[in-house]
Amino acid sequence: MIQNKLVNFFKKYKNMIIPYIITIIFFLAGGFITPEYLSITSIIGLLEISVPMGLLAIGETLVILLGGQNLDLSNAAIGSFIIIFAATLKNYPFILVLILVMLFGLAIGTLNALGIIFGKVQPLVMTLAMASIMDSLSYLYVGAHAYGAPSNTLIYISTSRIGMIPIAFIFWIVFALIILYIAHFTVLGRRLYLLGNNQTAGFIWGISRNILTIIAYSLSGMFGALAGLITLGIVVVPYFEVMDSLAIPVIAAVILGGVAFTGGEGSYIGVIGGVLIITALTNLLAMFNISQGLRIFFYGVFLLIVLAIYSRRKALKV
Amino acid sequence: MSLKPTLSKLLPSIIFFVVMFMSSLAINPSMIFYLPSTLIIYLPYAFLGMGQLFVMMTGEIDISLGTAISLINVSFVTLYGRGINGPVLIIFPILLGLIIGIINGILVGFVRINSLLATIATMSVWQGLALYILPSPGGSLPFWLIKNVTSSVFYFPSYVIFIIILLVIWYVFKKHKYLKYFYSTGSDIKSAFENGINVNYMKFFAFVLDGLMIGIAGLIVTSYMTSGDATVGPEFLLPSIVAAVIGGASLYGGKGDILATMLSGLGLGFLNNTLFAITTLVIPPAYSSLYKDFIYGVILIITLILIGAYEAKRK
Repeated sequence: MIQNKLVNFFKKYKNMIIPYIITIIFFLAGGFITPEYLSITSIIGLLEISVPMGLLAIGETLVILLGGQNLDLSNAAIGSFIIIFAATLKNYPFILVLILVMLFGLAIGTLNALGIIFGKVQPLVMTLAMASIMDSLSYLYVGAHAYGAPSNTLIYISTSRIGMIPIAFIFWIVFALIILYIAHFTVLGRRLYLLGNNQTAGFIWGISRNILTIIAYSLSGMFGALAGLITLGIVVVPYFEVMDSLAIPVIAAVILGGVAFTGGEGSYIGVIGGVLIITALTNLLAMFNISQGLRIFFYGVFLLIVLAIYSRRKALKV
Repeated sequence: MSLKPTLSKLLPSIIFFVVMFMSSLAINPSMIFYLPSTLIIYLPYAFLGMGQLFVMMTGEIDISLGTAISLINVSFVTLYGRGINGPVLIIFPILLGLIIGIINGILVGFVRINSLLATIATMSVWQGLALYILPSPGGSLPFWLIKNVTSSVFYFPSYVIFIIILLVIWYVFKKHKYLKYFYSTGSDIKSAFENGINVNYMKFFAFVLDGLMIGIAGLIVTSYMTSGDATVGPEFLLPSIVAAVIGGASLYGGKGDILATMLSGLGLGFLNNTLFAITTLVIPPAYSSLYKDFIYGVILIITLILIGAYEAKRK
């Protein structure tokens, strides 16, 4: 009886459980190579460096839940711009910078959504072009050399710990809980899932697809900006295009976390596991003494293996 | 859906091509005189747009296209550096492109991974291999090869050869049953399957064609660069998708015109070079490429919005 219940539970929440299992496998593999990898400090360190990607993944999850080829490749580039931008505002009060940065992210995200809804530009192209605009915007803003530094408050928030737990990680968990609450326990969240499941519907319960699209993209931009702010606190010295390399791993994390690319399926609970897979994999590869090229190569190969194991589309049968 | 490239289908790409050509002419009138010798650097955009188009027709996408160019570029140069010379050198990039296409095709067609994810992963694979083969830019190509690819083969201009290749591809595919199969696989995979089309093979084959195009583009790019650089590729990704989209393709699959994509690919090449010319004329060289990317992105979005409006009106 209990076994049956367990099997049913696993089947129902398969997409949310498997990412964590893969993460644990990577952990054990790391521990096999160097035992210190399994220590509490290294695990907490892993959670800490997952924060920027975790924040990006919140917005990305919302956008991918919309379905219909929606995805956001610009959120990481928004973060890169924020790193350059916020570093020049060291002497302004932190709250002011935070509000400014969040508003900027919301604005760029809304621009993405407007281009997609009213300009009928395909999301992939729109956000890819926006990413390239964001990159050049940071050069236009400071010239050829980045300058400035994060304020002390920002460094404190990004790197300090309460007891053993990093403050940035607490922020991530708080945001994650808020977004999980909205997605699963409010009317707005249910509408998001319903619209994602029903691509032909323009309206569900009186809210239009367009408004939900704007909400998802603007939040994605905002979380991109927040991730940039936290990253600035971690790297301290601003330089160009710091976060751009995250744009694509974030999508991989969301899909590995069990969110269906067709929309309306999956949860951020699984996505946290997906983010941990990607960071654990990056960490694992960093432990080997190999060139950067081989590291990127193995990263791709591992990703392919994981994808081939559990992200295949169903075979068509006669 | 009619398969004939009607004028209304071609119109956006013709307008785009003419506007881009005219604006580059207006900014630098003397370009008309050395157009034949510079045409070669616009051609990769047409080939890559075509590669992306074949894949997008079947409802998939190739994100790894950019880094595949990097991989071809560096291994091509390194192969010559190892002392291999002769006609095999010209075949090599095309062969490597085919292998790249076959790997992508197997993953998407037969292993059945979503193409966006599969090519995200292979993107890292190609980039990693490229960096492993040539960690820092360098290397060279033999003079005979550079001359044959970028200027002329026995007094016969090479850009004509490449344009003939493009036209042959267009001619072969415009009536070919595979084009219909691509369209139907992309627009409704289930009914295509039920009508007896081997949809998995079609996706595979689209990626193989894509690989062939990447190989030819890699040959041209490496020949006019004359050296290897593992980071040269990614800038080609966005233009390839945009060329296909101006050519009528959609990420939902089942659409897109070959001739229109070629034209808009060439138009994108003109745009790139015009912007390069403007920015280096007006802005100090240290900053010029930064401004270029900004204006480039803005122009692309405006173009796509206009095309979206046009498509909506046409329906």
